[in-house]
Amino acid sequence: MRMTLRCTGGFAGPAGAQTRTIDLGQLPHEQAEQMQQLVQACDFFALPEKLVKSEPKSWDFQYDLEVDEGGQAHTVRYHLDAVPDQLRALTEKINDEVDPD
Amino acid sequence: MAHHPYRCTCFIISSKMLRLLADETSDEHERCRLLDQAELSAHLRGQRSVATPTTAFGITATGEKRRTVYDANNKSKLPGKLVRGEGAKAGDDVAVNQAYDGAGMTYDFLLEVLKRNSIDGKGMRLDSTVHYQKNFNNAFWNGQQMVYGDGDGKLFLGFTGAIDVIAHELTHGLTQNAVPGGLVYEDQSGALNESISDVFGSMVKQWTLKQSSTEADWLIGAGIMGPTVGKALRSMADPGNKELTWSGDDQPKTMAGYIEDGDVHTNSGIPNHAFYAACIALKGNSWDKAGPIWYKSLSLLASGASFADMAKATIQSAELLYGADSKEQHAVHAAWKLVGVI
Repeated sequence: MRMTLRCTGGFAGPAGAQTRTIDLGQLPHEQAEQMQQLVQACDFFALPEKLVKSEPKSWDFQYDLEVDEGGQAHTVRYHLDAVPDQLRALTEKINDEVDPD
Repeated sequence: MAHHPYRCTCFIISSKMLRLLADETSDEHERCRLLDQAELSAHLRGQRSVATPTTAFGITATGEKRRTVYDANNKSKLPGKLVRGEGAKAGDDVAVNQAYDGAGMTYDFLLEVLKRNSIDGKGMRLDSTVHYQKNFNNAFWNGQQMVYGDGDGKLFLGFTGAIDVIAHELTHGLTQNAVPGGLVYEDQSGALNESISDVFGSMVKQWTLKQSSTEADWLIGAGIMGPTVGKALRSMADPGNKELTWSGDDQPKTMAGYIEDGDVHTNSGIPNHAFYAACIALKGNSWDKAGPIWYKSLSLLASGASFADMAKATIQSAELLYGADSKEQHAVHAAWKLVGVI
């Protein structure tokens, strides 16, 4: 499974956009398993393409997460406050544990 | 520097005791101090839930300048470890000191120039966290506090080094409070939200440097970008001029270049330039006339305000402050006409 998380917002906007690319095959087994479980727990491939707030605030960062697994790929654009808890946890885990590209 | 009689004991007296003392005092000022110390003490002990007087943001209102800086230690958890409180001496960490000083300058500007007590008008404490995540290329106001990344050392060098960046982000808190319902962060209302932050960010910088409108550089984020990347993120004097900013600057200067569905950081170049044009026409300092006009207009906006709504609000504010048909009102009208909004 490969994942690409792009995040934009804040003072810098697009200029400060950061992307994190994750190949689960390259991660330690436990860390990869935790991320895969979160992808499955939020039923990522069944999520709509957009999960955004109707009236976002200046502190709502915009995320684009693409997950590619076994020939299927899906991308979701979202604000963190508008997604299932598992996707929020996955996003925070990636932000904390994976360095930007 | 204010004397804080409780500072020497805040590590000894428990949060519970400080709250009991606060409950017993009849002096509201002292009560706020004690409750604030109780909260700081609670943070040090890893506690998060403390009953304190709050503002509309749910943050402690101290009624006076109260800055607190935390260190996230390159993680995402906020607020992080307390590293400097109001009145404490500067330490070795440059980012901590810059965040502290920048919040203070912004507070002083709001109080001295706009007669506003902090960003909520009620003395809201100004909390900041530095060293957020690893190589984080950004800074943001999260609805309750300021958060600063260190930058990746290539594109950005860190975000506490520019006073206009600090004031920009704190102004998002001001906008959220001063505009009824806040400004929705998308489309033109979102670009206005960004522009208002650039306007006040630049103004705080100019006020701190005592620069007139003609002396100011009108750059946003000067010095925070890597030298091989650019000189600043945006120019209010000449939006989109890559020679002044950086290679990715795509800001339009007038409505002729307006980008449908464009990013809020892009189309903000148009109202930014209107403010600049008004300042140049009015001469003197940006904070003398144009600043108060823009500030007064915030309460006249609705959450989905367009550029035209902002033009109308500032023209109305100029009339309220300086009279109908005044040279100030004409200057504001001309500025919005220059950028093609009216």
